[in-house]
Amino acid sequence: MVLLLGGFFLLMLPQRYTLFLTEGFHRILGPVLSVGRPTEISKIHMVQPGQDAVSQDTYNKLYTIYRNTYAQLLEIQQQLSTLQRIRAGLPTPGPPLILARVSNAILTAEECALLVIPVSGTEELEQGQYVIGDDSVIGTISAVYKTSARVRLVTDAKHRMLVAIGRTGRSGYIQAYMHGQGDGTTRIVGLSQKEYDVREGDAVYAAADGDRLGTEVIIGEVREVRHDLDNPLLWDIRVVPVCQAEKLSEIGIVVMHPKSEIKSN
Amino acid sequence: MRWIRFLFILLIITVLDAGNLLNIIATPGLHIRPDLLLIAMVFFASHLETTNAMTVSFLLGFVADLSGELSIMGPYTISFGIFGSLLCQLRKVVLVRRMLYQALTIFVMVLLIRGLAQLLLMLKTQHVGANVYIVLWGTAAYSAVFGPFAWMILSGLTDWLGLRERPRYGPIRIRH
Repeated sequence: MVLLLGGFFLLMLPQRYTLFLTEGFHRILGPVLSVGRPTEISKIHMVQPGQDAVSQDTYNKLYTIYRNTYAQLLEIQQQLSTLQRIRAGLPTPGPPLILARVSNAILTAEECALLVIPVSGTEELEQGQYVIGDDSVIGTISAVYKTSARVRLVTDAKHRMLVAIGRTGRSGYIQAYMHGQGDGTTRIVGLSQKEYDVREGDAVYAAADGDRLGTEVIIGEVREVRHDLDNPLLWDIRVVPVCQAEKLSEIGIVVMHPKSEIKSN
Repeated sequence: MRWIRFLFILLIITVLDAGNLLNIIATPGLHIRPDLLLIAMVFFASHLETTNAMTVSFLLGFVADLSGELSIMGPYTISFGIFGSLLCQLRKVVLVRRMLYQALTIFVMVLLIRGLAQLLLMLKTQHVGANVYIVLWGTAAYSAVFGPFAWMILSGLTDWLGLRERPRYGPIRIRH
């Protein structure tokens, strides 16, 4: 009888007076209790009278919305992280970048290209914009579609780009045009052997033109330097890109002059 | 009854009952697990004399409140105490020896004790938890299935705990 009365006394006591008992129990035995598989459902808390509460249906709807929002948050965080990583690879804090996912890679002798789906800002894309992947320029935008775009890689046989050849310890660049070969390499011709000193291991950058690229960004390095068979006075230079574009899953597109900014101005 | 040893066993059962270790055998989704404290209560109420059985029942109920996630004291202390005492009295009528009877007793006791505890909780908080009935019946069924095996383990500790079964029909007289 005494024990029963004790039980009723405990029940009648306000929760704040007995809370220390349960909290003490879980605090003391916490490490032992946590051994094993964690509970799948979250800890249940009784709603006290006067506290705000919603019905189970409303709760389920809100929880679904919460989970969707959380998934979107994670996605945005991942995009931001990728953009920051690409931006950190650029020589100077540069222009806005548009993140895009690689949906398909075409690597044949006739064509070397990537099909990409921009995460946002498709309207900002236009032909000729530089594309950065793995901290290097991998190509340029060759076509823009409604929801996607095509990137022509620097190794594509039809690709032609103004580049700057640089070397550590040498001031200034040697500017030249680089042509893709369709076999995973590129070629620079037309440089006079007498005037220009080019060696194996020299870095090849995408030349900054102020319109599409604000500063030089690496493309690859000189793999082979030999005499041009057609014109022995000129160099025939083979360049190998530093990035294997087919392995990329995300790329950044350099937008030097966003249309939205131009409109607002 | 050796109380120190009993408290040691009680601690193990409490840790198992309140801890994450038992989640290994919990059902996915609703997270239904066997109620070890209640199984222990049925076992001790069937093996101890009335006073000790009532004390142990209240103690187990108190521990169930203490280790519960709701942080509300009282409902299980009362429920365990009342039905533990009743079971102890009924022991004179019902003999819980066969596994089937053990399972049946545990099933009924889980329904009654947890049902009353839910009622008391509802009276105190004016709130009914989600899936109460499914969890109640599920726990009763799961405990009934699991109970006889736990019973076997506890039966192995009978001598160590000093639980002597009372002769049901009085002491046997040996005639010389």
